[in-house]
Formats: sequence, structure tokens, C-alpha cells
Amino acid sequence: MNSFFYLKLALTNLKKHSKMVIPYLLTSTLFVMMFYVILSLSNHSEFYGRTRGVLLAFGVIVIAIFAFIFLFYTNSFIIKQRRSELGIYNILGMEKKHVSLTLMFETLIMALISISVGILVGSLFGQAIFLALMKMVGELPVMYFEITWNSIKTTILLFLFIFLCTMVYNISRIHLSKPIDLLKSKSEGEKEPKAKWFMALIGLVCLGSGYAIAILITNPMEVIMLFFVAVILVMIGTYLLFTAGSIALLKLMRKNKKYYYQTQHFISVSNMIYRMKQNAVGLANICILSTMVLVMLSSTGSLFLGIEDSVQLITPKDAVLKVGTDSFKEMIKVDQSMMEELKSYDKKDFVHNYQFSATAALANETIQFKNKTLTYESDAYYVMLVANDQNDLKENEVRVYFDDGTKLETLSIGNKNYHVAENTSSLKGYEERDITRFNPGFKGLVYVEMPSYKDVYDAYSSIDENEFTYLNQPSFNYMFDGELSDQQKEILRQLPSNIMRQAEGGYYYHVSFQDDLRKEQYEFFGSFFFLGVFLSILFMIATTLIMYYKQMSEGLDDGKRYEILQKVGLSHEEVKKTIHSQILIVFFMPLVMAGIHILFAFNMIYRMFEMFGMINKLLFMEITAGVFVIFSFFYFITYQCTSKVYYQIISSRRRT
Amino acid sequence: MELLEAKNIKKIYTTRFGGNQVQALKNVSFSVEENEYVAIMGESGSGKTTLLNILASLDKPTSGEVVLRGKKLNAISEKEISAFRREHLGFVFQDFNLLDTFSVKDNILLPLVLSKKSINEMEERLKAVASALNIQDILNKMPYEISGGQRQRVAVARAIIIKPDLVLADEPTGALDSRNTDELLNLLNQINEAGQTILMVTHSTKAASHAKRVLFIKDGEVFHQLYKGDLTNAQMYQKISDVLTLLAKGEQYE
Repeated sequence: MNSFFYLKLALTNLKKHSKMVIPYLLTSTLFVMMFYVILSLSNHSEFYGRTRGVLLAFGVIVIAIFAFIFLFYTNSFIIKQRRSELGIYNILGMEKKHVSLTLMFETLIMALISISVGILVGSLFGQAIFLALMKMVGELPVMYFEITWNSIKTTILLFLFIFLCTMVYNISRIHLSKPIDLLKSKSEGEKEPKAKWFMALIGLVCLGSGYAIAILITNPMEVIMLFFVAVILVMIGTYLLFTAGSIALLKLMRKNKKYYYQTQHFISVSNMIYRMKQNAVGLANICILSTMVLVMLSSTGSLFLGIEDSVQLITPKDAVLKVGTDSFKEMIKVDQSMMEELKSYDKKDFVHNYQFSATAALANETIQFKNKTLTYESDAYYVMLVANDQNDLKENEVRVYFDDGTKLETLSIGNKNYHVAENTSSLKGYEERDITRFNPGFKGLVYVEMPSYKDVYDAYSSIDENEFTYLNQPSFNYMFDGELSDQQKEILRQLPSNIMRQAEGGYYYHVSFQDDLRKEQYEFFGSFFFLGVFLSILFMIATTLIMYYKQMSEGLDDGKRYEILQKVGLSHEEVKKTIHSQILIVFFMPLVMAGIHILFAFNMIYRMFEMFGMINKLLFMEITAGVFVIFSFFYFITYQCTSKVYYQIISSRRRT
Repeated sequence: MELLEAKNIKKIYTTRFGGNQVQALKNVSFSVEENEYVAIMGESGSGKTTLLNILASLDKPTSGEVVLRGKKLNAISEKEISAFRREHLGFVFQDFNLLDTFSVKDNILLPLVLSKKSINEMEERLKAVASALNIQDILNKMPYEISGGQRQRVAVARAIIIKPDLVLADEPTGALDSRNTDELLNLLNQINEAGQTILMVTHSTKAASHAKRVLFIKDGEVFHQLYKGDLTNAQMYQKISDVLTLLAKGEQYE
């Protein structure tokens, strides 16, 4: 048989179904492009095997899986719409193998177009995307996007595989069904969905408990453990509420005669019952995809934009050194050696102090380091005791800072009574915001400046360590600003251990440089953010496409209904109004739900951020709100475009 | 008293860019009396569906006017036309046109809901109509669960529940088997005897033979009309057949 004929038929088919095929083709092309670009980046010599490379490789896998699921899903939608057409071919005398041949050509054409265009466009825009990424992960040497045969090959293989799977699926559908089934219209005699109260209830319980976990759990360790439990509960809840809950609710509305038998509600409610049956899963998908996009963008964005905050928090100055030993005597010796070594450095804003911190209760102007009596963190103060090398405090005098504004006259610390020389609001060596953000979750923060190192050590010695759950050993801190060469940094890194090697007993130290930390964080969170944006774009495209097909299939189904309604006496205006309110509900329900999810998730995500050192709650709030607004805007545009398709289908139906 | 009057109706269809013109109705005039049962017959393409659409105010004539109970349809604004239609006209279609998302009961109530009637009134009217059409038992079923004959009865119920001035039936027996056709035609006779004016468009001789008067349309004009008078259905059937035969032969009948 002349296979050229089938090729031609395949081409005509694609053209005839351009309304369905073009969005599909566009999406698959974009997927190819994005996959190819991110694969090339992760294979890039500057990335491969490094933090940023690993993150990108993770993105590659996510995109591959997502592309597979999504293209498969969309394909099955298209083939479902074309069933009766395939049935007609069959009845007109084409054998199943001929129909299969046509379908094969169609798939091949689409695969050819999307893979070649995707790789081509990817290669063209690769450099631009590359530059964007480099901007995010911080300064890197000037590099160029590499077009490698390896990446191209992998991309081709992956997408050929995906298209092959869809083809096999389509062909198997033909072989499995009888022509008469293929011909039958699908909407005829559709059963009314049953209200599944039990499922709706389970959905409600799942969602409720997911939300409860998100709000009630504050302990950071538990947050990490339970985060995924909460996510899964909310996901199950979302699916169940969209599928069972919505229908149950609509049926409830229908039972209320006063409400139901009003023009607007009458048509909407009964139509929605059917709409929800067909579309609940799609809507739940949209809702979850939207939530994913929102969470991903707001959290990676906040972490990225919050880098400076966490850098400042961990290393308030360019160089931060911290040393500590078991005995106080050794400690003083070590301190002297350290100061001797540091003399030669150019130090601006030098802070030199001895300090420790612990949780404590405060009662009767006495700090009690016995926090076993405190059941919850939130009952305890976080106390820092500090002695600066130079201070104006007399013996038995302290300067105190309370972030809750408490003012004291005297203060007892470990058997010793001090006179409070000053209740201050600013302290040397720390900016106020650092202090107030130091340890969220406590009742408050207390900062006590003491006259001498000995006072600090005595306070520390008075503590019975068995009584403690949260205690930082006393240490000397050296912090200063100043340009440091790599060589100087290396010397500083070695310095504490060289000095303390001679000291008796155990010792510990920590050296960090602000710019190193910053670089590290930019690399990590920058790649993270890049990936977040990249995947968000992908998910948003997917959301758009789901919506588009949804509107299309619904337009086809609803057209006939509105035609009848108009014949029975519903005016054009009323029809438009009903359609409009209906689409609005269907469309924005997922977005509203996603918004609610985000609202509840906010606290939990923030708790996790704290462990990354991102503790700027306001920033996170602003970014989340901003992302939501931007996302809603895109969502609205999508709505505008896709609902136009819907109206077109409905009105074209009316004309015939 | 004249309920409906169509005067010199003319309808010309033009293609979208004004190219070809097709004359669907040349010059149609007739009137329908209160409590009449009129059937309009004609071959497909004779313009009878166009005529029905114009009578139903779904379409506008190119010239001429339709007057329903003294009110000119042309004069009704686009805004009011839907309300007018649902309050004064009842429709029965060939393919039933029931909404598959509504139960039988809700399908029947649809026009009342659109007219914002009270629930009590709706239920009262529903009861009366359902018992008249013998569909009380299927009220809570969905359209796909009932037979074609039942569906058409539901459609009739929907048409008469608003107590319209005129029921317009477009090929109502077209999708029914012969037993259901008989049932429906008897039903329409019953309704007519109860005082309901009916105008039916059909090409089924059997359906037309149940009407009190039959109008024949050919090439966009009223060609002939027959009164049933005291004839039986069978006699009327024969007479209609004779006219149709003449019609088929062409212009010989004058």
C-alpha cells in the first residue's frame, strides 16, 4: 500500500486538529528545550560534580519525569477527543493497521518538529539562560554555553522514548476498541455522579490535619520530619475534596429548594455537578501544580534574597574567629597569643570579647540557669553573657539589654549580685537586628555585658551542666572588617589550632570569612533559585495547557446545553452571565485553594528556613505575597486566553 | 379569535459576505385561531423549519410580520424576546432537547425557574402536568434513563407547564417509533382538546392527519390547505396523501 498516502493523511489530520495539536506541539517543544538546556548546564565543565551541578542534575531528572507524565496525559486527552474520527476511518474501510500507520506518522511528525526545534532554540537561547544562571550563582569566570553531542543525544533519546510511548498507547487504544465504540459520542447518557460523603469527609480530615501539623508544630526537627507528612495529607485532601467534596457540596446545594430553584443557581449547580465529575482531577492537578509553583518560587526566592541576612548573622564581620578551651587559665594564655598574632592585621571595627550563651529563667531579678524546670522553649530567655576587652564598667556593674524592653536595677547571676549600670538598647559588636534575630522561638533575648572575663567564667562555672539542655561553651571571639588575601585567610584558618596545640586539655575553634560564606551561599541558594524559577516556568506551562484543554472539552460539551437553554427561553445575556460565573468558579477555585494552602504552609516553611539561617520573616512574607500576585496575574492571563477558546467553541456551535 | 397571524413573510438568506442569496420563504400568510391544531407540511427544503423559527422568534423575517395575540414580534426588543418566548410559547423538538444534566423534574421546571416562579407554584403545576401526561413515576429519573417516548412526553410537559398561548412542535414524531408516535399524537390531541393551541411542523402524513387543519408549503409559499372537519384520522390521512402526490407531480395542481 502506498504509505505516502498515510503520511499525507497524517499531515491533514494534524492541520485539521490544529487547535489541539499546536498547543501540544508548543509544550513538547518547550519541554525539549528546557530539558536540553538544563542538561547541557549540568554537564558543563564548570558545573559538573559541584554543588550547583548536582542541583541542576536533580532538575534534569524532575523535568524528565514531569515531561513524560505530562505529555502522556495530554496525548491521551487528544486521542480521546478523536475517537469518533478514528472510528469513521475504520468504518470507511481502513484497516486497523492503516489507522495505526497514520497515527505513527502523526507522532513521528510531531516528534521530529518538537525535538529539532526544541534543541535548536535551546542552543540559541542557551547562552542567555546561562548568563542568567551565572548572575544568580555569583561571579564565575566568563564561560560559554557548550553545545555537546552528548546532551543532544540524551535529549533526542529521552523524547523519542516519550513519543514512542504515546504512540504505542494510541495504537493500543485502536486495537482494543470496536469501531462502534469509537463512533459513539462520549457525552451521551453520562451517569450523574454519586455524592461520596465518606470520601469527602476523609478529604476534609486529611486537609485539616495537614493544616494542623503546619500550624501547630514549631520544633525545627519535628518540622522537617513532618513536613512531607503534611504535604501528602494536604495533597490527598485536595484530591478528595475536589472530586468527592465538590460534588457532595453541590448536591447539598441542590437539596435546598429555595436556593436551587433560582435561575442563576439552577443552571450553574446542575451543570457544575457534571463538570466536576469530569474535571475534578484536572482541577486538583492545577491546584497542586499552582501550590508547587508558589512554594518553590517564594521559598527559593526568599532564601536567595535572604542570603545577605544569613551571612550577616553567621559572620557579622569580614573575619570571625572563635576559640575556646576547657580551662579558664589556658584560655587567657591562648587569648594573649591570639591577640599577639592578630596585631599585624589591618582590623577595622575590631570586636574582641569573651562570652557564652545559655537558656535560663528570669525571676526576682535573678538569672537562673536551671532550665530543666522549664518545660517549653517559649518559657525561657536566651541569655548571652559577654565581657568586652575594653569596657567602662566598674566592678559589680553590668549593662543589660532585653529585647522585650524589661528594665532592671539589680541582677543576680550565679550567686553574685550586680548593680545594673545601664539598661541599653545598643551593644558593641552586634547590631540590634542580629541580636533580636539570634534565636527565635524564645520568650526573649537577654544580653548582659559584664566587667571582666572572670565574671563571665564564674557565671559559667556556677552552672550545673546536668541541669542543661541548651548551652554554648564560653569562648573568645575576634571579629573585624578588612580586606584579606587568600594567603592571609589560610594563615588565619590555621592560627587557632597552631596556638592551642600547646594548650592543655580539650579545645575547639571556628574560623569563618564573610565573603567565603557569601560565595558558598550564593552558589547553593542561587542554583536553588534558578532551579525554582526554571521548574516553575515548566509547571506553569503545564497548568496553562491543562486549562486550555479543559476549556476546550467543556466548550464542546456545554455548547449543546446552552443551545437548548436558549431555545427554551434563556436570553443571550443570561447565557453569557451563567457561562461566565461558571468558568470563573471552575477556574479560580484551584487558585484560591492554592492560596489557602500557602497561607497554612507559610509558618512551617519558615521554621525550616530558620535552619538555613534565613530568618527574615518579613522578607519571606513579602516575597510570598509578591509571588502570589505575579502568579495570579499570569493565571488570569491564561484564563483570559483559554476562556476565549471556550466562548468561541460555544458560539460557533450556536451558529450552526 | 385570531391568536397568531403571519403576514407576507419573506426570508432571504445571504451568505456571510453577501454573495449568494437563497430565498427560503417567498410570501407566506396564514393565521391560527385560538384552540386550533394546525400542521404545516412540506418536503425538506420547502422552508417549513425557517417558518417555524420565525414564528418562534428565533429568527427574523426579511420582510413581513408575525402577530401573536395582537402583539407584533418584530416590535419586541432583543432584551425582552427571551422572556416573551418563554412566557408565551412552548416548544417541542424532534430530538427532545432535554438537558442531560437535569433530572426529568428539573427539565420540566426549567422554564418556570427561568421565569422566577415560586416553589409552591412550580410544584403545583408540575403535579398537574405530570398526571396529565402520565409521567409521575419518572420525575426523579435522568433523561438517559428513560425511553424516547417518555422523553418526548417530558418535552411536551416542559412546553405546556408555562401555559403558553401556543405550542410549537418541530417534527415531534421524527425520532419516535410507531407505537410511541401514536401515543404522542393522541397526547397532543388530548392537550388540544383541553384548550391548548398547537402548531406543528412535520413531513409525516400520519402526524398531520391528527391536526384539525393542514397547511402545505412548497417553494416558500403556502400551496394549499385542508380542513379535517369531521373526517376520521384515516380519511384525513388519505386526503393528505392525495395532496402530497399532487405536490410531488409539480405545477399541475391549480
